[in-house]
Amino acid sequence: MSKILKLSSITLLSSTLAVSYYYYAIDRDGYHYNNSIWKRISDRTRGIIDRKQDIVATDPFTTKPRDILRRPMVETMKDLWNEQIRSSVSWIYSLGK
Amino acid sequence: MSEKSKVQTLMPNKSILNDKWDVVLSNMLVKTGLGLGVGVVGSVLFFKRRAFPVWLGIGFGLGRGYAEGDAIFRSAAGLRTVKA
Repeated sequence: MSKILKLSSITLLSSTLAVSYYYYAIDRDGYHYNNSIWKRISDRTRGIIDRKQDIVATDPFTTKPRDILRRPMVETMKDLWNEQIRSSVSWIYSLGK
Repeated sequence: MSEKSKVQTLMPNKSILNDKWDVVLSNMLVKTGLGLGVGVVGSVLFFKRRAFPVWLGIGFGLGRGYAEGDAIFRSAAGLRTVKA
């Protein structure tokens, strides 16, 4: 590899990294990092361990009888699969907008 | 909806155990993914694309996820407490 090619590839890579860092950390002020799902999950786990947060049960405790719907696992997996297909297709369509 | 679906009574559909499992499993997935990412980057940058840094990263992620999950299951999170 010639020196010019090597130098230009290094320059391209470093400038791409610098521009990405600028927009990610400085221009947007870490917006995508702070709102990422994985960071929220990690912060929540850390908060539970440090006793700063708690797990709030979604359903209040009750002793009254109530109806619940139990579905077979196959149907649940089909729902998850269909949802993923729909979200993938809508993402593909969103590229053209 | 399948014909096999049926309605039962007298069973809560959520419990504190499920909520804890939800947190623990999602955290383990996140930590394993982070370990995998670090392993891939480390493998490419420092180890000439060898495979062991990836497995090492996955192992670290799984271990950290297990340790934090263990801490959550041992904690009193989700239980109602009263100051006496």
